[in-house]
Amino acid sequence: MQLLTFTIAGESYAIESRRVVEVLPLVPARPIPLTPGYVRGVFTYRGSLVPLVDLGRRLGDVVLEERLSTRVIVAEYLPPGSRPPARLGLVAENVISIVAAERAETSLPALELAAAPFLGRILRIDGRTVQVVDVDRLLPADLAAGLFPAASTEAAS
Amino acid sequence: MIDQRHESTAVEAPMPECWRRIGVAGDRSCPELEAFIHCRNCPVLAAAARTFFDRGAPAGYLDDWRAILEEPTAAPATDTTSVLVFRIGGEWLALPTAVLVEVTPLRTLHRLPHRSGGVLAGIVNIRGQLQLSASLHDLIGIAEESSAGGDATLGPATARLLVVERAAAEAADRWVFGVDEVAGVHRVTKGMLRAVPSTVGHAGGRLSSALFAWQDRTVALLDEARVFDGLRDRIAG
Repeated sequence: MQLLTFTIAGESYAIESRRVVEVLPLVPARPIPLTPGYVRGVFTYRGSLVPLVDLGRRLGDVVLEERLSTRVIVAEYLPPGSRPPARLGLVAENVISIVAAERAETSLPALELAAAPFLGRILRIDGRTVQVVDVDRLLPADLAAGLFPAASTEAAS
Repeated sequence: MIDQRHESTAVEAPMPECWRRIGVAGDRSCPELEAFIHCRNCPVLAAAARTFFDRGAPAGYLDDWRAILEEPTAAPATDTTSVLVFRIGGEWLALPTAVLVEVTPLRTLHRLPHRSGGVLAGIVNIRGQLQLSASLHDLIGIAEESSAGGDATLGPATARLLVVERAAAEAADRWVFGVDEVAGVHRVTKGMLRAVPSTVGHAGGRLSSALFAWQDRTVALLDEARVFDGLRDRIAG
């Protein structure tokens, strides 16, 4: 399994690369009022509107620096319930490399934290400690239901 | 298009740039090249790339990208078929590559006593197997091109044999036929295909399923089922 790594506040995290659609530069998003701070808004992605989540704000109260390596990861997102798969933009720093999870020297199984259900396994790879982030559980159920209504989000485009 | 935009907002890199001086883009005198073979394997270049990406986005770069991303992607045509375009006499024809086994140079044709002539041309040795060779010229009704006639620039050197096969229940239906020129494999979309006019005087009209424009020519796309059935009927009959 390949992992796309990024950093938040100097710590390495990763998402499964098979969920990654595209990595983009940090494009501006249009804010959505009255959403949690980690929802940067929506941006136009190849003709459709995609919500953009700031992983710095989601994983900690970290303000991401505006660098070239701070990028938007467009990921496949399966909303809870039986909604159709959608796309979700994730802003993270240092989106530069991919590592193979098989090369992990040691790992810790997924944590069960009520406050952060999206945090998954912790792997030790090449001297780095990388924690896997589960894209599908990034958003609380009520927010996911709001951002990805049962009616097709494609209609918005 | 994206590349051009990148260029317009490229950032100059105030880095050692050793790869331009002593690396693969320079005089290759770097001693590390022994170990790394190419600069892209070298940690110095990786570190330089990391510092490069640690800078802020240049002015206009993100707006360029926003403009790029706002354009919907043109859905890639999914209804394409790949066809082999070839020439028989003065006619440009095409067959779906799905039925094509190979294109080979001309080789000796062994005529069959009392059977050759007409559509059945004889048998040829293709990779140690004897295959029935048919004359598509005859099936379609195009005169065989004599080496003197026709387009002078296209000598017999352009002639090839096509090996085609149709999967059949009992035994594969495999034929070899000669063509005067092969123009390669091309992709055509359904939108490019036009119906064969019912009043066609076009040779092979009976065997064609559609016409399409290719370069400045009109190519008849042969219906492979009709070609195979036609060959089988003519040989058996």
